[in-house]
Amino acid sequence: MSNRSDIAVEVVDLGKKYGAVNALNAVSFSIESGQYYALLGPSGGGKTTLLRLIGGFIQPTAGQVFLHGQDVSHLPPNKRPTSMVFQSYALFPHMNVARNVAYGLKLRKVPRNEINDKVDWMLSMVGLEGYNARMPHELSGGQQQRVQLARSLVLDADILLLDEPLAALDAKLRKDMCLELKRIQEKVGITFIHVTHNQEEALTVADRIAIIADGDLIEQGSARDIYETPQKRFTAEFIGDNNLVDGIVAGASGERVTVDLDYAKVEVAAPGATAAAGDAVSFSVRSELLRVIDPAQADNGAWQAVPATYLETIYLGLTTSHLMRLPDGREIVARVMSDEPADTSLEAGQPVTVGWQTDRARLHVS
Amino acid sequence: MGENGIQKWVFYIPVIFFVLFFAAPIVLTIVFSFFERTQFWMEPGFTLFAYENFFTSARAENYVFSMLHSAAAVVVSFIIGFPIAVFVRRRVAKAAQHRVILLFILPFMISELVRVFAMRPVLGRNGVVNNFLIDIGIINEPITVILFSPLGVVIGDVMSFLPFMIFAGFLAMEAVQNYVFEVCDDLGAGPVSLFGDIIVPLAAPGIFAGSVFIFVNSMGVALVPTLLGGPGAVNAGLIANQAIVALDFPLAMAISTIMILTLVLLLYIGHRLFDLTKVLEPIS
Repeated sequence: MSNRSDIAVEVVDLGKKYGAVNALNAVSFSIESGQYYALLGPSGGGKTTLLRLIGGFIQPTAGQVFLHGQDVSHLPPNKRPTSMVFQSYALFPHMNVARNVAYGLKLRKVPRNEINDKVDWMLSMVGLEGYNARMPHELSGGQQQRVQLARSLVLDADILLLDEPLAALDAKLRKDMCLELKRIQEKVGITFIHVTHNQEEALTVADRIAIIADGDLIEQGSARDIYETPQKRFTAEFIGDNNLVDGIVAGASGERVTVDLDYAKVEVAAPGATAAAGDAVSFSVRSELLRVIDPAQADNGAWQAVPATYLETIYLGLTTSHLMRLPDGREIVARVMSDEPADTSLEAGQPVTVGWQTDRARLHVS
Repeated sequence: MGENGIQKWVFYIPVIFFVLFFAAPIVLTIVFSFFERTQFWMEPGFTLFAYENFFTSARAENYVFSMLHSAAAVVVSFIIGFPIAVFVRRRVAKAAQHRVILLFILPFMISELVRVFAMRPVLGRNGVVNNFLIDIGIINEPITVILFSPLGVVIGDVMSFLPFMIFAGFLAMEAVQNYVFEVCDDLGAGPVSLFGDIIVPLAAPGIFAGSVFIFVNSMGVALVPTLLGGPGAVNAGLIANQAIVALDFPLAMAISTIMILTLVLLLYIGHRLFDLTKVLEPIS
């Protein structure tokens, strides 16, 4: 049993239906106190629904939400130890920065001089010292989101909910704000739950990531686990730049299974996986781990190889992608650093052998 | 070319229309107010007699009362009409909002004369209101203060011009983004704080616009006090009307000029407070 007080958020069989449509199916998971947790997934997958259920903006049709061990499933947002940062620049347009940040404190009847001190402190925390008198329309998008952040943090909520907070910012600013969010979270030490559809954003900010799609929690893990060893086929497809290959299990021996691809048989590491002969499975290899190799290289069992037809080279700046086609028609990509010495003799239509180190492929049974 | 010429005229026509039928009459009104009165018309000259006549008679007093009645109509319209606007914006499904607001346009489609006149059997001595109150035993004698009285005029003004407050209020509320309400939920703003700190300030330009419409009409439309007013229960429009009936045209023009100045002053104050250019632009 984990200590309940260390668990900031626990969600049990939480579900939300809109009429006959399931926005969220019985999802269960928990988040430790002080974690930066990202809910990552495609649009319409239910991640915002999940966040809003945790915040109390919508009511669940099934299941419960516990915050610090207390059942808050049917409490309104202001009765929960959460605070929300919205996707749009959700500032009060008629109040200046200081009044926006102060408003929640004013509602709590905090003495005026205490409010002023807290507002100043929080504005310096988000890097907006001296912006007190600015109006929202005088601020850039990034600055407006900082003010929103300050407005939420100043209330001493210990779970901050961020609903696509950076979606409206341009790419460069989003990157900077990611690091800024991470820095602020580490400084204040409270739990952040951050909804995003941008994997780079999630990987940058989060300690742990949950993949949410089609109303289900697909899988969760540390940012590194999710990127390097995704368990589910969906995760491998969604995160990173993975090559997915489907086949049938031909046999299992120890920690490895043999997957029959019709045009080749390959061995895939399967630690603890329950795949029996005849099962339809897939495996994935990150594009940066795929190489055009000499067929002889695969002979010792450390490498696996399949035949392919070379299609084209795509220069992407930092990396160069080599596009190839497998015999079953699926396209795969091998990505190498552009300044790596490369075989420039590859031509479109040329038969090649594509390989990867055996332990780099990840088996997905679902 | 020809089409260019036509396009040009399409834009000039309203300009000409407004110069001819709005600007010119206003200028003439002001000019005529300084003319000398004759027995049946007036003759060119410059005299402040009409203004002197206005300010030294009971008319000035009535004019001030008219402003007070109109202000009362504005306040009552705000109390009744603005919550309707807020309610429709907040509680009615998005797709149905405009239809619900349309319901409040329908009374406008009935002639104002008919609408206002139809209130007499309701408000009168033996009217619906009095009979009801006597029947349920709240009063013994009919109340006479609700018809042919300042109160009757205020009720009539509210009935006639309430839709202005609902429209303007709804348009202003429509421009208030949904997130504003969610943030307030999150911060724990109760209904009073939400209304006073957030909704009214954000809708202020719209509320002011609706208020000006109601105030100006309550001041100027002579029909309401003609049908529902009585001794001392007149408005500026009716005072000017009476001057015309008495063939004192410079006086009627002077009263109109004073009304125009009152309105301009009001708009100036409103503009300084709320920046009226924002009335038609969504708050961002």
